[in-house]
Amino acid sequence: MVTPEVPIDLSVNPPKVEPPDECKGVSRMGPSPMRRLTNLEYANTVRDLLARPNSRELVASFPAEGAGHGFDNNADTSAIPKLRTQKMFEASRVAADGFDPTKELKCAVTAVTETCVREFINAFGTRAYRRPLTADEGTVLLKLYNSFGAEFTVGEKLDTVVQSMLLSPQFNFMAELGDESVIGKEDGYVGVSSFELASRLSYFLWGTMPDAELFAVAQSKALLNTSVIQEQVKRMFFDPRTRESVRNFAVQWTEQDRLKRTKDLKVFPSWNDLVARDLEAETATFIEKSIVDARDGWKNLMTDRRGFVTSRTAPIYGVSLPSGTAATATVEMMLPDTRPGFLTRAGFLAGFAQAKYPSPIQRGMFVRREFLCQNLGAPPPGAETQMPPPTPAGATNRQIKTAHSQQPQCKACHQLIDPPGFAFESFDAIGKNSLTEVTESGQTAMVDTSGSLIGTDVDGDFNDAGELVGMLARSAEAQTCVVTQWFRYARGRLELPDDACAIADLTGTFNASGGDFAVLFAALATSDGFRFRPVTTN
Amino acid sequence: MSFKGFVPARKGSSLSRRSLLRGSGGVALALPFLEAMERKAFAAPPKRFILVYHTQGMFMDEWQPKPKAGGAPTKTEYAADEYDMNSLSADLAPYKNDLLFLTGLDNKISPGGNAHEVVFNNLITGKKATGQGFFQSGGPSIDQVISTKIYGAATPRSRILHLGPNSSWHVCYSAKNSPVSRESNPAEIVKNLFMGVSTGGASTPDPLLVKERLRNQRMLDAVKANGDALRTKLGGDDRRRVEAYLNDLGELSNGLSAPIIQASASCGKPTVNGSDAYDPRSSDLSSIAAMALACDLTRVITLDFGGPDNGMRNYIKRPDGMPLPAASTDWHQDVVHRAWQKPGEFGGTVSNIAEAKMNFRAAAKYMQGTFANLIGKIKAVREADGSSLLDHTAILYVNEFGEETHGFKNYPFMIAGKAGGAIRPGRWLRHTGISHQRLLLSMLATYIPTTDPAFTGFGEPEWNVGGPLSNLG
Repeated sequence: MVTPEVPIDLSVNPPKVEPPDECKGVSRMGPSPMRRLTNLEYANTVRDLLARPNSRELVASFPAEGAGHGFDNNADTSAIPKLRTQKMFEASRVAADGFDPTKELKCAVTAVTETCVREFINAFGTRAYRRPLTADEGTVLLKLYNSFGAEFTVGEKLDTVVQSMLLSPQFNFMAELGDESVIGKEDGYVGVSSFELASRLSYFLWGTMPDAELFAVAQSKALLNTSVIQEQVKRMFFDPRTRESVRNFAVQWTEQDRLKRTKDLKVFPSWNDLVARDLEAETATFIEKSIVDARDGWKNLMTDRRGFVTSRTAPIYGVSLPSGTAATATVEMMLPDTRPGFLTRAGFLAGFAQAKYPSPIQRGMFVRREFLCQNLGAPPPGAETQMPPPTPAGATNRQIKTAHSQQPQCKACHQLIDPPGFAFESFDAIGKNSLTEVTESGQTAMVDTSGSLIGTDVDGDFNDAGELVGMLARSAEAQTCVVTQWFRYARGRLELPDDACAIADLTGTFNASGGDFAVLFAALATSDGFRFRPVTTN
Repeated sequence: MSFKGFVPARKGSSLSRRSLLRGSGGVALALPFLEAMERKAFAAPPKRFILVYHTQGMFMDEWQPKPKAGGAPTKTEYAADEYDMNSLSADLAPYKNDLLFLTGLDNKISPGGNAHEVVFNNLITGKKATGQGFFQSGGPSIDQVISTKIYGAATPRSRILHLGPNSSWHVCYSAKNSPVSRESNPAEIVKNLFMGVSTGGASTPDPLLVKERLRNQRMLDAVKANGDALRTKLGGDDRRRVEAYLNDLGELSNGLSAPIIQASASCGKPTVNGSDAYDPRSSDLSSIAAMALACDLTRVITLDFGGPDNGMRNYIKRPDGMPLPAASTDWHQDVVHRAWQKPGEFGGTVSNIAEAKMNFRAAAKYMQGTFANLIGKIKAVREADGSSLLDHTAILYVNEFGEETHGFKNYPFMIAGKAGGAIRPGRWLRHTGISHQRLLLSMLATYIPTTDPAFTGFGEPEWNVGGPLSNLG
C-alpha cells in the first residue's frame, strides 16, 4: 500500500502460518457490542465538533477509565458510572457555553425563523450524532428550542440544544443500527451503515469523529466499497491524529501508567516523575515509529536499537548526548547492542519492576500476556502468593523468586513465566543495564539471565535478553498476538473463539507484507468484522 | 416563570428532601402533599448506614479489647466495663460505649490468587469473584443492597467517599462486575451533593437559579426523549446500557428539580479544608458524611479510606517521635509484608522487621483515630427530635484483611451506633472461626426484611450457614 524506500528485510519476519483448514469458507465472527466514547475520545470529539482546542480539560475530572483486559475502549468495561454522568453534565455545559452556535446559523440572529433553527439542528446534529438525525430527533430538539421564552437569548436557546446533543446517548455511545440494504453476507448478519463505518474508521485510526471527507463518502455511501475504505485508510494513516491514536494504544498496551509508581530513592536517587514521563514518551515514540513510519514495522518493534533519549534518561541507557543538547530535548540515537527492540526499553523494564528490584515475574507475565497472548491467570486456589519460603542471607533476586516458584503448586505456571522474566535480570528496577546486583544483605552478586523458553512456537535456550527477543521476533505466535492487540483496539473488545479465523487472516496479510502495520490497518478496516455485525437479539 | 406555588422548606424543621421529592413533578406542590410532609417531619428519624473500609489487616492482639481480669479471654461476650481498649484502638476509648467489637470472624473464601483482588471483589459482596483481577465482583455490595432497598435501583442515592489518589481497587458494586463510582475531592463533593442546600436564609428563590433549573430540566427532557427513541431500537446489552445511562440522567434531573433545602440547626453545608488534628482530607470526608446524613441527602454512605496514603503519612508520628518513612518507600512491600515476616524470609532481618512493625503500628493506630473522629462527628449531630444521629446509624468498620498479612482469618470488625435500637453497643462479642458473612447478613437484616429477595439472595449460600448473628441487639 505504501511503497517502501528500501527493500524490506524479511529475515526477522516469522515464517508464514496458513490459517487452519477449518477456517476455509467460514465467515463466523464475534459480536459488535456498543461502546461509549472513552475520556480521550470524548475530549477529541468535542475538540473537533466545537473547534475547541483545549478540550482535554473537560475530561480532567472524569473518573479514570476502568482497568480491565484489552484497552480502555473495551465495550465490556465501558459502562458509565453515576459520577461520570454528573461530570458529563458539567462538561457538556462548559463546552456548550464556550461555543457560539449563532455563527453557524444561516440567518441573522435578529431574524431567526423556525426553518433556520431546523437547518442548524440538522447540520450540527449530523456531526454530533455522526449520522443524519431522524425526523423525530429533529423535532424534539426544535421543541426544546421553542420551549424557552424571551428570558432566553437565541444563543442561550441554541446552546441548550447543543448541550442536549452533547449529553445524548447518540453522541456518547457508538450505537449501531446497521443498514439492511447492505448485502454481501448471509442471514444473521447485517451491514454496518456507511455513517457507522465512518465512525468505526475514525475512532480506530484517529480516536475522534469523522472529518468532512469521511462524512462525504458516508453520505454518498461510497464508503461501502472496500476500495474506498482502502483509500480512506491510506489518506488517514499519516495524519497526526493516527500518530496520537497509536501512542495512546502504545501506552495502554505496555501499561506505562506503572511508571507512576515510586522507586526506592535511596537506591535510585535520580528517579523522579520527569524521568518516568520521558520513558513513557519514549515508549510511545518507539511504538509510533514502528507502526506508522517503518514499513518493516514488525522488525522495528522487535529488534530496532534506536532510542529516544533525554538528558534524564541517558544515564539509564549509559549513553552520552551530543554536547550542547538542550535539557528538554529528545535525541534519536542508536543504543548499545544490549537494547534490541521495545522489550529492552527502560519504559518496559522500569514499569515492570518493584521499587528496589526488578520483577522477573511481572516482566515474564508481560511477555506471556502481551506478546504471546497467553493468559495464565492468577495463581490457583491454595497457592501461597504472599509468604515466600526462606532463602539464605545473600540470596539474589533471582534466587528469592526461584525459591518462591519452585513449590509444586506454583511450578506449572512459573516455569512458563519466570524464565522470560529472568532474561531481563540484567536490567535493574529503573531499566539500567547492570551485570551485578546488590543483594538485600549488601553483597554484590552476578546476575543470571539464562533460561529456557517453553510453551511457544520458538522454544529453546537463551543466554540473555537479546537472544530471547531474537526468538520472539521469529515467533508466529508473537506476531499473531500483536495483530490480536490491534484487533482488540480496532474493535473495542477482546477477541472471541469466533474471531480466530479472522485474526489468522489478518496475521497472514500482515506477515506477507513484511510486517507493515499500514497494511494491517487496511486489512482490519476492510475485514468482514468491520463492515458487518451479527444481528443482535432480544 | 412565576414563583406561584413554590414552597420553600421551613427553617428549623428537618424535612426530608426525599419526602419533598416524591410526587413533585416540578416546582409546584399541591397542598395535600404539604400536609403529608408536615406529618413526615415529626416522624422518627430514619435509619442510616455507614460502611468504613480500611486496608492491610491488623495486629489483632494489639487491637482487640483487653479483659480487665487480665490473661487470655475466656468469655464469648463482654460488657464494656469488663475490658479496656488495646494499644492500637486506644483512640477509640471515648466511644467505648458506642462500639460493638466483633472478633473471630473469618472470610471463608479460599485463599489463592492475588489476595487484594480476591478481597476487594468478595469481602462486602459476599460473592465469589467472577474472574481474576479487579472489578470482578459476583454481586452487589451490602451498601448498595441497602441503598437499592431505600431508593430503588433507578435512583441510587448512596455515596462512596474515597480517600486518596485514584487507585484501582473497588469495594462497592451495584451488581455483578459493576463498580460504583467514588468521589474523593471534598470541595467537589460539597458542591455537587449539597447543591440544593441554601445557607442564605432567604425564603425566595434566586430568579437566576430558577432559570437555570428550568433550562437544565428541559434540556435533560430532550436528551431523555431522543435517548428513549434510540434505546427502543437497540437490543440486549446495548439497550440496557443506554437505559442505565438514561436512568442516571433521570436522577440528575430529579436532583436539579428538587426544592431548595433551607439550612437548619442540624443540616448545613459542611466546612471542608478545615484544620484538624487528623489529616484534613479524611476529616473533611467524615464531616461531609455527617452532614449528608443530617440533611437526609442520602442514608447510605461508604467511606473508602484504604490505607495510610502518602498524604496521610505526613500526619502520623511513631512512638519514638520519628516520622513514617518517606513517600518513596514501598508501603505495601516494605512495611505491611515485612511487618509479618520472619527473619530470613524475603530479605527480612530482625531489625528491618522491627522497623516495619513500628511503622505499621503507628499507621494502624492513627487510622483507628480517623474512625474515632468520624464517630465523634456523627454523634455530635442532633436530629430534629433532639436525639443523636449516632442513635439512628450503624457504622460498620471493615478491614480488608484479618490478623495475618493478607490473611482471611480473624478480622477486626466493629459497629458504632445503635441503628435505631437494632444494635446494642458497649460490648465485645468474641466468636471463633465463624463466617464474616453472617455479620453482613445481620447488618442487612437491620435495614431489609429477611424475607426480601435482596436479603435471601445475598452472598454465597455456603457462607451464610447459621444466618445472621444473634445477640447484636
